[in-house]
Amino acid sequence: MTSSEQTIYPSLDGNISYIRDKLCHTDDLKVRHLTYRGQSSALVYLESTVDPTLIERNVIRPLRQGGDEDLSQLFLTLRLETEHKLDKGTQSLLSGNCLFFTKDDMKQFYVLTTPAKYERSITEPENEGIIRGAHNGFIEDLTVNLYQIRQQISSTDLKVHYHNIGNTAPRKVAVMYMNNLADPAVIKKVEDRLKGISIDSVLSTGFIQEFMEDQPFSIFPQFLNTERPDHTGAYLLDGHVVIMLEGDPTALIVPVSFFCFYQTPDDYSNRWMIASFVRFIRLLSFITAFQLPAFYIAIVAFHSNVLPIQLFFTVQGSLTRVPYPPLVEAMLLELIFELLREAGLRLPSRVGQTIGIVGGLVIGDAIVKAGFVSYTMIIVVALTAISSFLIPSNEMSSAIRILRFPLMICASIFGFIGIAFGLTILFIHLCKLESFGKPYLSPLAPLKIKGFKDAFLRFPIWTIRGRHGEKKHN
Amino acid sequence: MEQAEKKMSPRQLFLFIIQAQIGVGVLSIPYDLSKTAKGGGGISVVIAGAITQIVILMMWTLLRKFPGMNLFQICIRLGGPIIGRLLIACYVGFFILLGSNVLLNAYMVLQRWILQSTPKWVVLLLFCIMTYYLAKEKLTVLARFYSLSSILFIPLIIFVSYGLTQARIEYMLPLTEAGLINILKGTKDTTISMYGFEMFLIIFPFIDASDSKKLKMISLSNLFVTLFYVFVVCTCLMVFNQTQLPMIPEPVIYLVKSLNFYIIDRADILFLSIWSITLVCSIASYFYAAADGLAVLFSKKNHQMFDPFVSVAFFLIALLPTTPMAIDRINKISEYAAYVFIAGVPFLLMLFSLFVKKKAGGAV
Repeated sequence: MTSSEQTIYPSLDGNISYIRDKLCHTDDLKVRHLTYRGQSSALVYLESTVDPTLIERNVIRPLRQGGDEDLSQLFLTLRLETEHKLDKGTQSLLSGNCLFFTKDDMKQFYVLTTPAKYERSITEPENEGIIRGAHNGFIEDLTVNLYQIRQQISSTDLKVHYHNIGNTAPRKVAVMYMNNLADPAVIKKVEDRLKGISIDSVLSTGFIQEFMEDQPFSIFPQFLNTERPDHTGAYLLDGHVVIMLEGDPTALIVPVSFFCFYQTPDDYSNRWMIASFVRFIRLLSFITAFQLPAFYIAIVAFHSNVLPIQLFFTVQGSLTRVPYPPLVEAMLLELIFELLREAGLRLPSRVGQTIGIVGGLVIGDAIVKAGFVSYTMIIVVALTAISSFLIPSNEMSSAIRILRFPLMICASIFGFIGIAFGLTILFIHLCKLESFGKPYLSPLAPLKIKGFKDAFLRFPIWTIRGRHGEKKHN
Repeated sequence: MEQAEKKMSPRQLFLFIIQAQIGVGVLSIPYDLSKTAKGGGGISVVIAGAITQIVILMMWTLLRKFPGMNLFQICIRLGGPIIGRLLIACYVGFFILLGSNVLLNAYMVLQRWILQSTPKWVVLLLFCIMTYYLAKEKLTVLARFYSLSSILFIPLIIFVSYGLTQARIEYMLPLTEAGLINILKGTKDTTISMYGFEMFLIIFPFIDASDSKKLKMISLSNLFVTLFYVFVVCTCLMVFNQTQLPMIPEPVIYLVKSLNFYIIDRADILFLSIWSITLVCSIASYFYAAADGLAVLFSKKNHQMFDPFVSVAFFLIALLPTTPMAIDRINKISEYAAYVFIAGVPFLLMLFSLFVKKKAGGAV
């Protein structure tokens, strides 16, 4: 943030013209002249950022009623500060404050908080719906989000630390953690990396994530995103650190492990047997989501004799009409599916239903009848698609979807050994990955048996006591 | 990225040594043993396990005298700067040789069973890429990956135990048919497959446990590996009789090939794909040891800059032998080198350490 040494001018007009210049003579800058203790005064504000009711009630009315007290007693605003640096005052105009200059005391001016608030209502986030549990979600206003978190965790140990990130257009970032639970080394790392961000303006939490990740070149996300307060609260109580940006409803949670991306609040609202079953299925989908096409290619291209004889006839029979190698067939269908998926994001909802049916019929049936792909391939792609959407976290699901393609290429060159090669490289990468010091694959590697109570299956709540054996102080 | 070595837990040590020991040898042990020990193959393996246990004990007594130091640092400490460095260079060469040997044998097995037409350098390149990517990391990452890949033992054991459905105990009996001398000869063939525990010498200071616990863990690893080998060997001896066995160079894979599950016909392809990951772990251990030795030799903090050289060395040494005789020669050289470096040199170092300690009265 550039700070100039420009201090308050001795004349009202000098100050007002400086501010006008600084804000490029913007039309929404308004000045209202008033009197205080018989001297002329000016109230400067940006009408696009202030709430007129607050100004009228807390600033203008007390002045009008002719009070003689000290200004710090007179104004009824929630926060009142004195400043003598004009640049800081101009910056504060942008956050909804108004500035009060008076000839009675030209050594300082007053910064009064009168911000306007236009929020959308608290609704459940679209991408993170659950069956049972709270249906509120974060909105764009940071204060309301902090309110929701404090409703979740009414503990005196919950600490909020504000930062301002961004060089020319700074935005407020809040770092939250439980003071008695979070690892101080992680907290320090988070704050150091946050302060080290140097960019004009942070437009979304995605920027923060990319700046702060341990390994930005890895395909796997090292921050967990969520728009749900209950999910965030649960992680806070587990000793994680949460980062939120003003104007973005997404909360970033660190440090995370691979299994965090497979958890939803539903797991803890349902009974433990059902939750375990669903959790297990979700983790099974990890295998099918990116390996199924590769297996198909390996089997069809190289190792047809792995299949039992009847399955072999079915698979090979549907393949006889396809004129090109299995890799091309698989890539074609997978790419068509990716196109469909991306287009589906932008289709208007009314058209979407129709296109869905048409797409299903056309792609599913006609492409096989025309002999471009085989039936087995359609089944494989459909299963893969369903498995990849099973993953609760959008980022992890995209990562896994992308992993399909290199693995398919490995399978088409070396068969099963190629799949073994690809998987080895993948798992070595996962073993290497660390999110703020916490190994990505814990509790699987390093092996912590206690952590298994919440990884593959969800054991009853009364057994998951305490936190997952991470380093914690006291 | 910090390369500071954090410590690994005793459980990780257990899995680490297991993964380092189990390599490509176990696939052909029953065949080698059929020439000498015949039915008493199981006993040969048990005796081999006992011998390795004694060697481990000897290594442990050497290591606990020098807390916080691994083999290379002990060499420098006991041998002085010149002889110690020479010794380390020999060890580096030995590890590279042994690692290349495993790599070469791995290629031979894959080439015979799955990748018949793939050129040799391509397969070697695949393995070298995998081992390089794994072994250039710090030890805890290796330990994590080894623990993870230990899960793959479960399908392996299931595959082999399925073979018991075709077993006939009379093929194995009588146990001492070949006589004690031949059983001992068979032990010699088996010990080659048990190598891998010498990694203990390199990773000893990086384990978060007391000395006795470390010994307990590695003894357990050795026990597990011995039992696993006994299981595999006995299963093969029970499935194939003594006229068939000399004709099958890799009885384990042949056994798995004949199995019939409902959805998989040729289980040996799956078996070998899973097995190749264990092989990668074995090769990576030697890679890490060699790179670590080079780092100590040139007094560098971490071994990252030596990894490419070690990788190229592995690749070239495995690429060179093309005829079966050349391959046989490399196997023999590795075998004899192993006797020297795994048993001989640590033994000498241990004796020397006793002597030196007494003379200097505790402060070496």
